[in-house]
Amino acid sequence: MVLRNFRLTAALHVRLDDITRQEAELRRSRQRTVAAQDAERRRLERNIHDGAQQHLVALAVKLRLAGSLAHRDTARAMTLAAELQWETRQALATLRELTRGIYPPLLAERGLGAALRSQAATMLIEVDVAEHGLGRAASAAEYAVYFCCLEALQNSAKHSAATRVLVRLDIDDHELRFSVSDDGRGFDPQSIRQGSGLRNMHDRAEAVGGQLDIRTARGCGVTVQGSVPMLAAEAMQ
Amino acid sequence: MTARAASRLAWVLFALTVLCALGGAVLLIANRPMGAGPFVRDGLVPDAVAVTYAGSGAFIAVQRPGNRLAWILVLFGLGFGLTDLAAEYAVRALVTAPGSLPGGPAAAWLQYPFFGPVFPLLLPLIVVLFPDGRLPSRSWQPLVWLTGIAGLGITAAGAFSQGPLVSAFRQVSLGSNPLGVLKLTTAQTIGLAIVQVAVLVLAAAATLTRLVRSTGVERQQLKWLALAGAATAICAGASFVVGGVAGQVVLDAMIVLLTVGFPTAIAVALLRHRLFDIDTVIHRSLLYAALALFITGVYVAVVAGLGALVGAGGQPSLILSILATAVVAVAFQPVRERLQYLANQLVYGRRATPYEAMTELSHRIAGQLPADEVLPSLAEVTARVIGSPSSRVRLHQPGGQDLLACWPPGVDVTGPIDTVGVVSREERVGEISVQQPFGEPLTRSQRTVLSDLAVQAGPILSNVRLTSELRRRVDEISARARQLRESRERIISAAEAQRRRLDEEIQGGTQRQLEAVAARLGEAEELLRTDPARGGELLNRLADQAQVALDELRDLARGVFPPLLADRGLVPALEAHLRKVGLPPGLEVDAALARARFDPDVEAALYFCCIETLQHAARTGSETPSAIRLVAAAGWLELTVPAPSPTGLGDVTDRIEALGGAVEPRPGATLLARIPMGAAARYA
Repeated sequence: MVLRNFRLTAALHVRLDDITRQEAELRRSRQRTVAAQDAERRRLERNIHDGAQQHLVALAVKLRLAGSLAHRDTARAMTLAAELQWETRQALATLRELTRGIYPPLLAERGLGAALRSQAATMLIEVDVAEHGLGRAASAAEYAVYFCCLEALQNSAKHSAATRVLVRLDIDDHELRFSVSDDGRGFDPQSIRQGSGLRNMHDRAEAVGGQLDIRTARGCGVTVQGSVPMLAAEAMQ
Repeated sequence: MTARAASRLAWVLFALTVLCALGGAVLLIANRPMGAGPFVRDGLVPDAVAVTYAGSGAFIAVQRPGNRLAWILVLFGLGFGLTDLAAEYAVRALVTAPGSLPGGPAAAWLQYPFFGPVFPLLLPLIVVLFPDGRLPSRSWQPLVWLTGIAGLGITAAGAFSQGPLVSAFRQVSLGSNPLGVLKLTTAQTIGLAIVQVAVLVLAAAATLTRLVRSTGVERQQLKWLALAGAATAICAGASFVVGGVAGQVVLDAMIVLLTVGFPTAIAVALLRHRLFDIDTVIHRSLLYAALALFITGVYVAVVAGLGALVGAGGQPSLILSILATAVVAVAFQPVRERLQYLANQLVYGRRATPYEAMTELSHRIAGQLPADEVLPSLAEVTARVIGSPSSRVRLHQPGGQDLLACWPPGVDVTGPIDTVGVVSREERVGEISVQQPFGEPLTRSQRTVLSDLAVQAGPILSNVRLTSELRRRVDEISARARQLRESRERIISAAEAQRRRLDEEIQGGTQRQLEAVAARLGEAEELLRTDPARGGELLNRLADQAQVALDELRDLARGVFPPLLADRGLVPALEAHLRKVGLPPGLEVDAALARARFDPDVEAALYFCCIETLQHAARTGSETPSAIRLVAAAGWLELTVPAPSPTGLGDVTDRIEALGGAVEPRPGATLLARIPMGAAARYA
């Protein structure tokens, strides 16, 4: 009787420990999410400041200059105006790139495959996106998967020395599955402390009820794969 | 009738019975030469019956005044006492000393009304009303009427029929019935006797149905009566078979059973004193009877059986006797064990003693840990073991409401109850209560069982408490985890929405302005060629437009994350923002905090909390009269923001909570956001 009670109580204790750990992990994950968002905001602000904003400053100054030169040195003003046309287009391009980074319009309009392909086009490594007639999921789910895939792609581009990356996307009634695998040098999962990038991927996937798994070994490339449930993702909407 | 009056009446009737019995005994001794049967058996036994029955009846009546059975027992004894007194008085007045006492024939006749109802009326009632003074069911009501009519009819028939009068117990002839007006035929007499037996049989049948349906206490009570009845029946049966001295012993035993055994069994059963020992008593009786039978059997078999075989010729053989003794000696212990086992099986079934039953039940309980299973089981066990109609178990929960379970389920146990506390490791963890029927307080042995039960319940309840506490904490933390998960989802979707908004704002504002500029630059170039003045004008306008686009973008960028916040900290960033939007509320800051720097997360959370609350107030068109305050108080960094309508600020709350802080509305239409200083990690 005593033993049995002890066992049951111990089982409860284990569960309590488990759930307490889970709760603590969630708390940390939430804090990381907020920190990641703040970092993201700072980065975005710097982006705007250093990119589009500088273009605009230069544009405004040049326009003002051209305006003031119009009488005295029309030829110079005309040269400036011609340059300005090109620079304005450059500024616009910067702005569009900025907004694409902020919230990918393709993701909302044409789905995950198109959005990832358009991002892959700007990268220095070859990226294949394998998806055939991929259906649409709730936007929170799609965005989470988009975020994870993009993060994985950027990791591959930055750290792996890979030449090719394959992105697979697959959807069924229950979940949206994804995997990003490169042919790079990989890393030893034991040796690397999970960086904020990897943790953010986990957090993002788990936040919509999904899961994420990173498989790698030295010299074997990296595969990031995960899934996000359709139901939970829809329930969030 | 109050309990006090009832007990007084009971003792008066008992005293009357004792006086009658004493008077009868005195007269009996005076009348000694007369009478047929043995002096003691036929003369003193009725007095003994009178005293024991009236005594046990009165004893029960004092403790259970509501039980009609007690009063019938008293009347039963009183009937014997009065009859014996009247009989011996009549013998004295009419036979042994004629003329010495007045009213001899009246006394002789009075035996009829005194003794007439005792067997036809009172005995069936005792049987049918046992043990609670109520009928087994309403359908037995006609039996009571039949018993009443039969009893009174038989009494009247005896009292008014012609014939000789005899003294009730000693058959001394007392002349003929002076009031004899009826002439009963033999058939009629036999008929009356049959009715009397039939009523008794029916009463026994009622008790049998009661026994079949009974459980718990009632069953144990009936067992006591059954034990006395069975013993009496065995003696009665044996008295027919056995003769001589042994027969006399059997008869004496039967008399003892009738005079002492029955009233004692009834009193024990009704007062529930050591009620549950009945099984032990039956158990021992069976065991010893079986052992006696075994020894007798061995002797008969060895001495008579073997003796016949070896041709001892009916003469007892010393060798055979020794052999029989040896057989008995060798076989006694194993046989006793086997018989004991059989008797256990027969008497207790699966449980051995009440205490073992309690232990077994608490084992059963120990297997279940949730409070909603254990507490009802414990309540049920309590009620069953104590024999109370209802019971209640209460579990004190630390820092929570008490848990209650009643038995039978759904019964609300209130009113007068007997309660014992349940203690585990010197801490009171709960209590066990039983509710007794009105006028039936707990007996001492019931109290003992109750406190034993409470001792056993200690570890059980403490375990339940531990478990439910653990469960409660698991639930609590699960709920918190769920909230955290939801909060994290909200944080992410809020950020997503914000990015979407920023995206739209850039596209709809800066980008459109810039596209307009781009569209007209070609025009400006053309104009410069033809009309430099107008061209310059257009370029200036476009420069203005570009400036507007730039300002908008700067505002948006600042909204994303103000550079000042990263560069110079929370207070300068807030000051700049307030200056920029030109809102009335000022900023009050502890001097020590004015230039202090905190963790970037904390700065951002508090900054955006402030900005978003103000924006929210502006959107809902509310005035924000009070100032914004930033103070350090008791380990917390506290920001007070005017918030006329604190609803719809979930995003703000999530962010602050993510850093271990809290957001709460405060009087004066303000919102207090606070973050622990530890998390704030001041590094100024």
